[in-house]
Amino acid sequence: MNSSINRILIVSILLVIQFTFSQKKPSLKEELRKKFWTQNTSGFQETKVPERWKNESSVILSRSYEYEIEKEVFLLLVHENHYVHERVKLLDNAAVEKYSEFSFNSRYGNNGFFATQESAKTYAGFKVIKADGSEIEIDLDNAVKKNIKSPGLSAESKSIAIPNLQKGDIIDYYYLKKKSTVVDQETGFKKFESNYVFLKTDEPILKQQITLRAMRQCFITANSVNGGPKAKFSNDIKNKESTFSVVLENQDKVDIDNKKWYSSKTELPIVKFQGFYSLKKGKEILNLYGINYDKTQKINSDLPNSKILELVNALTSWESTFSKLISSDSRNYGTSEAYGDINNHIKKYTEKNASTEELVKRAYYYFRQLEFRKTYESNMLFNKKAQYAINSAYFARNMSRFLENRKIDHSILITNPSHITKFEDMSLSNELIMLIKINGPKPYYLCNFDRYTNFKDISSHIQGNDAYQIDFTKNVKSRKISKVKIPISSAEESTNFTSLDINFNSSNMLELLIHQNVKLTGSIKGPIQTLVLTPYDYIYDSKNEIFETELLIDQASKKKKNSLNQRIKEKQNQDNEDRNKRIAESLKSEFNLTDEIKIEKIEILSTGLWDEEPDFNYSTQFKISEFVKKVGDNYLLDLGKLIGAQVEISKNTIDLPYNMLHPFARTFKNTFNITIPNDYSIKGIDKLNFNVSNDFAEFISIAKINSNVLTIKTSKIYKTKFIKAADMNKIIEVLEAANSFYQQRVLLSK
Amino acid sequence: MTYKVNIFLLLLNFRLLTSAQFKDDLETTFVINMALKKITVLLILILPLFTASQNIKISQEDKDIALHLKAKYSDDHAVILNSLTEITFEKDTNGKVFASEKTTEEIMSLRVNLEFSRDFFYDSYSKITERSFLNHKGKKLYPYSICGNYEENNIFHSDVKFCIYPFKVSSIGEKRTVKIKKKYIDLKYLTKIYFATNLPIENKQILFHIPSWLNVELLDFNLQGFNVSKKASNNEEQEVIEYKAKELNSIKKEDNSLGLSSWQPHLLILSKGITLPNSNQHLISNLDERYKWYKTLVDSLNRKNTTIEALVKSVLSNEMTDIEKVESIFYWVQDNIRYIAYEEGIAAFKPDEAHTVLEKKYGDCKSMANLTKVMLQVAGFDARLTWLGTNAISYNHSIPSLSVDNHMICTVFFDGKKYFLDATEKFISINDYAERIQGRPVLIENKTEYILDTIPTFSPKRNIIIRDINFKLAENQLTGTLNTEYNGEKKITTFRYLKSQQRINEDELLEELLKNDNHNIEIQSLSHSGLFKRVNPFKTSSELSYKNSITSIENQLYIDLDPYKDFNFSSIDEDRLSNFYLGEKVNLKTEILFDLPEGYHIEHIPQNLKISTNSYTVLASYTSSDTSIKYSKEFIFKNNQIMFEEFEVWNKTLSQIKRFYSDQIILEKNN
Repeated sequence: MNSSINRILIVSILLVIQFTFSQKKPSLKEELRKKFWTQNTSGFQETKVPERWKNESSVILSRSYEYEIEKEVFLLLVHENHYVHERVKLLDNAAVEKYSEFSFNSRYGNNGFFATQESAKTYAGFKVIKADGSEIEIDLDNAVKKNIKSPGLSAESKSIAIPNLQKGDIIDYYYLKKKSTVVDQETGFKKFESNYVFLKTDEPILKQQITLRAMRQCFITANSVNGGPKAKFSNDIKNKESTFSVVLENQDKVDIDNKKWYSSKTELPIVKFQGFYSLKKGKEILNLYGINYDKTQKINSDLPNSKILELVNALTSWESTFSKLISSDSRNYGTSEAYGDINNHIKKYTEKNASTEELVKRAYYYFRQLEFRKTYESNMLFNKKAQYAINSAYFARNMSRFLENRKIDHSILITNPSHITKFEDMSLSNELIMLIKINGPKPYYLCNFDRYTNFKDISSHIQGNDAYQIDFTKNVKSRKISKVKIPISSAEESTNFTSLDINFNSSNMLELLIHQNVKLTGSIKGPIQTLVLTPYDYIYDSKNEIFETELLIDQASKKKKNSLNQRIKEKQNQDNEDRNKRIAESLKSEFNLTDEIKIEKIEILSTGLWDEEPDFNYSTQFKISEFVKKVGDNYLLDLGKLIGAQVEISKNTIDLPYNMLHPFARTFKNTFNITIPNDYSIKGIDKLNFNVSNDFAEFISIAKINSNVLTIKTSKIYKTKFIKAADMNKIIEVLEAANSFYQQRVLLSK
Repeated sequence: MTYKVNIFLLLLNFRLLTSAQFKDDLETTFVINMALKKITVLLILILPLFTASQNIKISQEDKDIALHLKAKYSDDHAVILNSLTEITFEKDTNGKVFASEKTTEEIMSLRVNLEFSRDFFYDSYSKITERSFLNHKGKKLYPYSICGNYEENNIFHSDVKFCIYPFKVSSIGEKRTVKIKKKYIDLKYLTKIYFATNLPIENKQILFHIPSWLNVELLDFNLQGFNVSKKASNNEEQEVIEYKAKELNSIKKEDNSLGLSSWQPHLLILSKGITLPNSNQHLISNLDERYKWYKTLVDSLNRKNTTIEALVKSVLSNEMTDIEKVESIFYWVQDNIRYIAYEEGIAAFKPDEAHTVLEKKYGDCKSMANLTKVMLQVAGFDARLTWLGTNAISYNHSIPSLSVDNHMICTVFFDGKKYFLDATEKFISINDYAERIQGRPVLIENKTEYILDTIPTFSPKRNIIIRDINFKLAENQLTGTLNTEYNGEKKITTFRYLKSQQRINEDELLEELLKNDNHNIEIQSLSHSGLFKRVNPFKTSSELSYKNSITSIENQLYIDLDPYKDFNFSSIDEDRLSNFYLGEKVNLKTEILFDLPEGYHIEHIPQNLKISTNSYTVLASYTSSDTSIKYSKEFIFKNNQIMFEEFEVWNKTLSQIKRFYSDQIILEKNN
């Protein structure tokens, strides 16, 4: 308590000193004007658009981006300064509209004098260069200011309408976003957020330059990847400043509309970086992020094996460094170590002759329930906001500790999230994922979990990736690093089996009565479990007696039992109603319906929470009245629409130059059992048979009539996770077949 | 002076962020968007902190009430049991009169663990002066407040501010009481009060305490169909007027609806005069006074003609006829001045100087109207400012209230005629008027007097869209030619949309226009005439294929001939209160000529559809000959909206249209 008061006093005194000093300097506003309006590098004098871009809406003639991380001289404040400058030629009305109004958050932060958290300020400048070369600087005093306040926090924004802006003009603007953070003196360390700067955008760019600068006691990890230009590094030891810069010219625009087809962070040229601040006493933590604490402050670009080893050594060591890391970054780690609880549980509850796998499984599930179920019921019932998730490093550390205790042979693996970075480019703190491999004749993997993850599940982001493997040995010095491949699941392992039993409403043939049964396996389960399961579906299936997560009602005193029971009942009813609405909405969009639908019944057959029944299985009942048309005396049934809306393919999609990254390989298997009404016969089923298959995808459908039931079985498979741009047509071929099926109709005639 | 009413409706969509329950294994990454063209103002940066909820025992009686209300208002999460709004008027020692609006709401939760907020608005002429909050047991609560500038879509800046008070309620049947007092420092701006809000209200009471020295008139709107009663009592000092309403549904966003004032029950408050000896406060008692006030504002403008004269000279040429000169100036303003809405205090009623607008090349409606006026005057024409309410406002124009007008245009007197020039309507020609101002009464500047007039109304002919298709059967799908003609409202909105999009995508966007959201339509070899032309129709000519239009079953072909299934809508929700606004007096004509394939005969053609009411006509018919089938379809709407009273008939029409579209032609192979 005392120390925090002292700190506040020091901060306030220093703020006064700072204020006094700052009186003598030219204003920041003026400094910025000077810096940017006289910037003569990278084509900031350019006015002409290359011939090949003359039909574009706008062209960025020049852009510069500078990032600077510096510590305030007297204060414990670290500033991250992002300087952005762009000069844009406006070639049509859409561009004029786009650049005619700007608004930005000019200030954000804590109210009052003692700003202890994070604050940000943005300073901007704008000028218009007319076709005749005359320049008009925009006076920001005319900007409209807006603000919003709550106790403790406030934000201010500025909006400016650019006057006299016309087609053919150039808009030249800059801004500085200054983010200031108070660093913790105790750890002497602070990690900042990762940044990704795209070198290709939705406008062509003639010239661009990115510069990153680390000042005294500040450090940067940075990399230019995915075909980005090679960076230049420089070190000025005397002035304690090191820089990283890239220059790039003539970049065509990218097709932003089709972004969903590729992963932009692994396909487009990018400069990515992350800033750190560290005192000498924070050097061990800094080291864990791959950076040496030395006077050169060299900008770090890669993650050598030695650093990976050091990280794993710290992860598995019970000395202070990793704990320091955890306390410096509690947002991403659990608040206390979990291995003690895991050990105790295993000690108490497992049989002596349990196999290793049984032990590990029990530990894994105990750990999962500890993190997700322990406080869940009271949080749900009494609306407390708790976060349920742990970091992969925390998971690996505690799991490894348990395995070490039990002398189970295991390795620690480090890999990349495949939608954020390629393995060879991983360097930033958010780009490392840790997992455990249990060694033995049949090795298996333990990955960080979410609420519904099962034992041995491997997160889809890392399947098929390369990984560093370090076998766990007590003796740290004997540890070696090797490269391995993480297994990838087959399309079959992640399957959505949906069967629809369909009857025509006998009193209204235009209405279909549908009973749907959905069974999901593998990676496809997660999002649907979140959609369909209610809190009490989960709580009641949590094996509470096994995993020491007692129900509230069992803990309640006799006196309170009645009212608690009533509350639980009310909450369950409410959750069920909410769930029905969610599912109705989801079905409406799945079947592309215009009318609302009502869920008449829903039944959870298996939550998929446990190994005994790992599939998630539920059934619903609803009606659809948009798929049948009366034509003359007969009925046309839009049978194809029963498989749900299909991905649409535009001309531009086919020509995309980027590789495709699916979340995971997967299969959709549908069975439709349509009962043909008495006195009717069904025609046109010959067109329901499709068979298109290649190495990357497949769509097959088979229709059969058995007495009065028409059965159609379809199977749509995405066989791989990665697809090269050149193989895109193979996917399109299959999607087109599925789209054709979607359009098929059959006839019911008397 | 644009749209200032719907703000709290928009707030219905304000969703409070709660902390994420799941955190990805990956950390959040901050992606720098270097090209921060429009840096969205992240007001959401500040998350509401809810006042803590305690688990309070709720009586069975309250629980029963809540259950009853839950059945009644099934889409709502809370109900206001009792809401009292009291309007009082006070005077200070200088005779300055203020108004206070005090609202007390008793709110009951219909959910377990409900988080909700009450939102209140104020502006340059009003402020929130008192607030207090009570929990279920009547104990004081101190919720966090979030206050700031309110941002409305499409309005660059307005002076509307808000305060949000967030609450967290634990149990069904649990209550909160909210008391808010708002003070109006200028009575002109106390214009209206709505009965309903974004929560349903069981009992609403509005009380006016009108002192004898103040002349206030209350006008009620849209009370029909609602359970509202009125009672007045008098004594020497004041008149008390009481309105009581019961069972008011919450206001929900209704698509395709004009302003709230056209359908929600509300009162207009007209403060007409003060009879205090020492008061010289200006109020608006009648139309003359309203005009006088408007006129004072526009007369205070400082006109500098130099730059305008030069511009007018460059825009006009000697060879032009007078009408061509008027057109040139009107079109110059449309083409060169960007519309940006700006509403703050008095600035909501006073135009920007013409020369400033010219310099900036942007302005709001009144600034564009004033620039048009000044340019025309410089060119020697009799041009005047003109006030009006667009069709979003349903009040009689003679009402002395600031709520009556939300728009300004310029009227030019010329050749014995009046031309109403609205330069905010890009691509409109001089003799044409946008749907939103047609038939609207206007108040035209005329020195110390004013002129009242009405903007002409056009028949549906103005908006005719013609589609002419020739289809034949080729490779099991319909292919052929498509000729279209667009006029009126749709033509203008299409041009405006195209101009706002990247030029490089123009052809693709025109194809999209012709596809009309039907993915089975393919357009090729598109040519067009009249694009971006104000006067002539916009015409297109292209090849058209209609995929998946044929179902071939054994020896029969089922043919879905019409790719443009206009008005194939779902029926109007039975809870809907507002008229359904069509945007224009729709006039759609489609003709399809289908060449019969050889070797087939017609087995079935759908029955014709003919519906005619006082407000619309829907016709669709098939006629056949030996070689072809001709399909004609026509939708003509005399009004631009389907009125509330017509919903039942309209829903029947919609289901007839749906049934008609679902039927198809059947061709059978000749034996």
